[in-house]
Amino acid sequence: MPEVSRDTPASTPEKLLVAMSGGVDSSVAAAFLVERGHTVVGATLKTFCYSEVDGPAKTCCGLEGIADARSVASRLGIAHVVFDVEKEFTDDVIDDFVSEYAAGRTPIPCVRCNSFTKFRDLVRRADALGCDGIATGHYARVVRSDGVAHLARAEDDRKDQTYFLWGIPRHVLDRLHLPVGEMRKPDVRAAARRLGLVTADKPESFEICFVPDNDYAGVLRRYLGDDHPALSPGSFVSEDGRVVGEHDGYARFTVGQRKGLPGGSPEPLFVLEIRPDTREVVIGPRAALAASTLRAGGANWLAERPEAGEEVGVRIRHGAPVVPGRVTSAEDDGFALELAAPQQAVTPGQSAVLYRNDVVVGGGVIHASGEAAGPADQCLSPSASASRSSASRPCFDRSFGTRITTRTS
Amino acid sequence: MIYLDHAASSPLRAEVWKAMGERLGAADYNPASTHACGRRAQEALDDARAEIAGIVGAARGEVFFTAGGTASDNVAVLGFTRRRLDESPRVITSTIEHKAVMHAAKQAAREGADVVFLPVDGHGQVDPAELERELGAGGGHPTLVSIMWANNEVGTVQPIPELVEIAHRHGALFHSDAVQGFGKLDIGRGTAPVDLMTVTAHKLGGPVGIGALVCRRGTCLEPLVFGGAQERGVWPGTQNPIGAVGFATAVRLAIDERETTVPRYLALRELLAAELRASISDLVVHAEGARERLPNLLSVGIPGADQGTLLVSLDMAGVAVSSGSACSSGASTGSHVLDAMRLGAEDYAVLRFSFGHDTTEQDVRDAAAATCEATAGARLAVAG
Repeated sequence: MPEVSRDTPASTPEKLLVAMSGGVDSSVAAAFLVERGHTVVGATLKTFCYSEVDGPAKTCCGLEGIADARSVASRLGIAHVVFDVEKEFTDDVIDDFVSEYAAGRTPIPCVRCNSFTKFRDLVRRADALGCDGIATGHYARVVRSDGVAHLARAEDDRKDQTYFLWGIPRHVLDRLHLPVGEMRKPDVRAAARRLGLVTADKPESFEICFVPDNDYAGVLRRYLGDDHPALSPGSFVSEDGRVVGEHDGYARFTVGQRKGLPGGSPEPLFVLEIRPDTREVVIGPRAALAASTLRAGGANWLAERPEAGEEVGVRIRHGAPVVPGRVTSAEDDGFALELAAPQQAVTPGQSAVLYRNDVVVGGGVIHASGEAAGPADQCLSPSASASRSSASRPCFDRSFGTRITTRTS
Repeated sequence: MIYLDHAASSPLRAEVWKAMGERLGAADYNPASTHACGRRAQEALDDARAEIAGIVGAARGEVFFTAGGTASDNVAVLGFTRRRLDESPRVITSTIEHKAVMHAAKQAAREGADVVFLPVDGHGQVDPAELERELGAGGGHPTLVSIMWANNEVGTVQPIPELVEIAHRHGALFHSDAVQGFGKLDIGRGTAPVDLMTVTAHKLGGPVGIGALVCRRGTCLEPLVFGGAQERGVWPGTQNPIGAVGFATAVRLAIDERETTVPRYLALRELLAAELRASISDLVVHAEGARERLPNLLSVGIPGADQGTLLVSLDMAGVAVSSGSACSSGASTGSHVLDAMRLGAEDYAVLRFSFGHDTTEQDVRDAAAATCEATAGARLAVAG
């Protein structure tokens, strides 16, 4: 592919709406855009609020983040606004989070939030405010080849957040600025200190923005009710169908999980599959977790759609390396892949993101994995497929301070 | 910047700043100190107390300086109930109180008090008959009625004299949060013999951080914070005489100017409503049908517009207004006041304009024009 040019400062100043979470990354993103001469408006999305419900004892989720974003905006001398997107966030992110768990999958709310709430709502408001573009503090880059904007992996690969960004509307790329994607985290912090931003030494957030005390089962209970099948007792079964124990709700488990399983086996056991129809959690040895094919649905393409047979890079969980794979089919709404080497974390509900070198081609939500995958448009339901993965990992969109930890402790 | 958010805080007036400056070297000591410096500070504090007491028709010993409106409201409500916890105290308040009263009342309920929130009509008015009915069902328990003089979000003025009469007839005490109305309405014991009243300095161009609880002699309250004997234990902690000087000066100015400012505010309010209506045909003026509204406050609703977009557009256009309700985050939240008035909905943007002593007709015309322009964008954000 043609050589890409980096996202360089605009030759003419623009008016930009910058998403500011109150974290250090988006603070520095806003500061850099101000330094480059843009007219910047800071915006914090209020996605969820526990205050006002039960009196003063509970505080607003993200209250500190909003206050910090305001402080940074004040320091930078820019306007700041809080957009209340609670309803959109509930509809697009929390409802999906709950229904995915109920369906036995392990969702990534950060992806949904970026795909459906954050960028869409920011762009709409940017338009309404007469802004030329938007910016965020994500670790990713916008690169241009032949005048076409693409999303590319961050300079600091360990911080790369493209895994969470595959679902954003493609048309946004043309107007998207990602100033910290060119930087390494220590340099971002150093810049924040140099600029005297209150967020300079703020620790990484480990809170799920809509899950108090990381009690995600509590959130599920609240939305589904105590007696929902996903939270009701069911059986652990072995690969050959023998009942080997009882669990207290399949939504408490994820594919690859090791904790909380029946003991007594000579080798460690892992969750291999969740069958919501029968409330069964299938468990078995590590060897049974490996998969060499996968299918994904709900695809979004941020570059030219690959042809069947194309070799691509693929990432199947946040923080995992990009591994080689071959596209076996690719349609508007889904794709199928063969992995060059079997992988152990191909979990339904997680994302599969495709890369050409550094550039994000697109992504989708993993529906199924196995030894042989069919065409993308015939995705099997997870309960009917052999879904396999290794231990779950925290999914964590640092730029917005959101992390989902799926039962790893 | 056109500043039309005086209901949030009215900037320090030059006269106030001057008066505070003139007492430097006197009012900036600890009034509790026994030496000459302390006595000068005490004198400044006494003067301020006497000034405010005279204006509200109270004795000097009935004015307690606090940290502001929230402190005064909390002392009134929780101080009342905590003192009487073994007598099953009651608090009767309204659904449109400031959060300082609302959340104090909810806390009182958690501590065992019986708390009733009276409904309001579509203009935010409490029905005196409702209070009468509620008090009649009281069963002889010590009761505090707490109803604000004028609402901070929509400006509705309550029939305080009538409500006080009803409360007293039933042997209840009456507290009113008069933070917004003080200096604009005819407020004081002469108008309505309230037992407890909250006032604060910074809504009148006085300094932030000082307010007062006017408390009828013999009204026993439990302190909420503990320390020395300052303010006779009602609000302990080193007193703020320099703030009190500013407070008293701001109150005096507001009262002295009231005869000219109120008609001017009323004219500005009507001008603003007319200008907005001329280009926003579906504009809703909140509390428009109330018997009385704050002269310096106009709250409007704009259907089909995005709240955040509207506010930041006006901010960038150099017009400072608020939505009238904000959680401390700065996010506009669903307003409990509009909810109680059965107003507002999704995509219903609310703007609260509030005037101060220096607001001009040109300010109002410019703000109206900017609002009409910003509304177009804020509607795009919803339609988009």
